[in-house]
Amino acid sequence: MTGVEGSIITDIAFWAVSALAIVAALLVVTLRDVFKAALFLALSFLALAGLYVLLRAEFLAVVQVLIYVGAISILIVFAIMLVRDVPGGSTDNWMYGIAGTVAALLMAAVIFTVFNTDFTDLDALAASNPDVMAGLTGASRTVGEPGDERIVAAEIGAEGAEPGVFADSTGYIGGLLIRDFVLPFEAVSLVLLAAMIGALALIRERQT
Amino acid sequence: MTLENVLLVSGILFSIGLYGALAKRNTIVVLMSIEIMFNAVNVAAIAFSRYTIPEGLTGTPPLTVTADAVQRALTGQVFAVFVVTIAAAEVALGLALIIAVYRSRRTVEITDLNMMRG
Repeated sequence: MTGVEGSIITDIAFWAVSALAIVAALLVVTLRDVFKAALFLALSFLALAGLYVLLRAEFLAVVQVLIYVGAISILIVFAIMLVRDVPGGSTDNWMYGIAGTVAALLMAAVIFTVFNTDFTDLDALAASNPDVMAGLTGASRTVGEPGDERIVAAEIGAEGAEPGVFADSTGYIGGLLIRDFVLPFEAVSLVLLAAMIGALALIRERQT
Repeated sequence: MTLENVLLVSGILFSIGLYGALAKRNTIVVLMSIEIMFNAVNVAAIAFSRYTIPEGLTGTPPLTVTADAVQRALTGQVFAVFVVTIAAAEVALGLALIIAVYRSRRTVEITDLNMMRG
């Protein structure tokens, strides 16, 4: 929408991180050594964090690095070490032919659908409407009567001006989480608690 | 860099994860493949959040642009936050299950875990 976006540099960066993520994911499902597969999984996660930055989701990029690269990958590596003396490594089961066919068919269906669908275009709308552009990436202020408010473009840093949603996505995500999505937000905390207690109960040594 | 290209990457990643989840013997690799699928879904959600017009901004001009409608452009990112949370819970439970099974049966191979077969 602004700056270097849409330039050749972002295109190169996009294809580079995408190729890295896809190749690393392919290695995860093809390598025989489970430990190396886990390391390439972390690499794939890291490449996707770069993709999130390109998609203007800086908060999600940080979350990706902290939770996926920092926590989930390390947890998987620990689990591999705990069950390390299992022989055989990562081999295919008898279903690999069916699995490959199903995955290839799904990929073909997704690609066909994606390139045959007319998606709405936020960038085109923002280019034609300065208020939308300001609400997304610039700064805007609210005008109008209560109940019939709308936002108009404003100078960045001017009195009463709010930053655009993609300019300050972290703050707006926090606002959405405790306003529009407060019920799923609370439910997910219960899910996390249940998962934590469940994991503890599962791996507890039986005292007999 | 368009919506179609990002969705293409997401679809390829999801297919790779699906193949791994169905075709692998080792339960830890199956878990890793499921994580790849979670990530593919996140990429799609964030791409839609970035490139498509949120509800409330569609319609014929002149458009009334409200702060609420503009903020709905971030709904996809909020969904991704939830997916990350659930993925963290899922991987913790999955690894606990794998370790519990390994403790009692000394194996993590899916093909050996058939005690529920009739």
